[in-house]
Amino acid sequence: MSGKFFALLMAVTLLSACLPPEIPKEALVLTQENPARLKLQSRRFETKDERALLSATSAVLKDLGFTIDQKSTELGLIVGSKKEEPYNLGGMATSAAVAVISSALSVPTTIPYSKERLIRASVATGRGENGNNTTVRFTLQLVVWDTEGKVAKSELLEEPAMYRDFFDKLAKAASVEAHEY
Amino acid sequence: MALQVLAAAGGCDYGLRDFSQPPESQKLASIRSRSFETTDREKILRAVIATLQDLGFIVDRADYDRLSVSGTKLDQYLLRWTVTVLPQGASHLTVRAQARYDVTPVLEPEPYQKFFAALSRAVALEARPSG
Repeated sequence: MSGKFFALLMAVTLLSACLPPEIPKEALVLTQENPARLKLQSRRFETKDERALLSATSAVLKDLGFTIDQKSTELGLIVGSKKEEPYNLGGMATSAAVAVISSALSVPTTIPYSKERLIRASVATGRGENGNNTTVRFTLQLVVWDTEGKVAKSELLEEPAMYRDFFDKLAKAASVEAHEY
Repeated sequence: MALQVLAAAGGCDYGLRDFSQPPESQKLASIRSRSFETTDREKILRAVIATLQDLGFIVDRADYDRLSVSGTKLDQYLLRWTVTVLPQGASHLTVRAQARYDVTPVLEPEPYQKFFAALSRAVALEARPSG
């Protein structure tokens, strides 16, 4: 009887492990970007020369320490990334302490901590109204991986100074005026 | 009984092998794609980029030759959206979207309907069921 029960329990456990995780409903609710964020991330440049603006964008991103990961001149997209040094000394100390204590108790345990931080930049250009100007949308995101290679944190960066700095540098590099929406 | 356990594990294996390409019903395929009366690939791909941005995605890949665009949405979760454009006859383009929550395919129709409604506005063309 107990053997059957154990086998049944094993079967249920194995099958439940196969089930995909449930997707939270809020993750699937797609809504239009809020106007404040759109304003922060976008500028209209007084030029029709989208290619020149893309070249200037590449140069500015490189100046800011980004490596260009992907570029599509035809579709007006540049994606770059920049590694940052991990600063999570508290997490490292906790992880080390847990490892030492658990080892002393003969139950080796490790706690992952933030290991790698990557800032990703995405710049998309588009033809503005009447084709007389070019729109630029700049987004920054932070991704942090832990020591087990899992994404520990991911978020949009929304510090206004970072966006202003980028757009100011781009306007200067492209020698064109930029306007907020 | 041991066979039952192995069968359960075998079922899991089947699911994993088949995970990259889940079986799609006709209905699901139609939810994930729309046809547009245009042959302007650049216009459609740029509209896809603008639509994903307007819906809060960060566009991280765009390939004109492969006619594809991908974006991610990060908000304490990872939602990845991949869109491919396919020629359909001499006068239409089919836009096919696929969303994944982490590694799980999104099968619910609502996000796709929302995406195509926004894409239709961006491209200023009426989207029709493909096929």
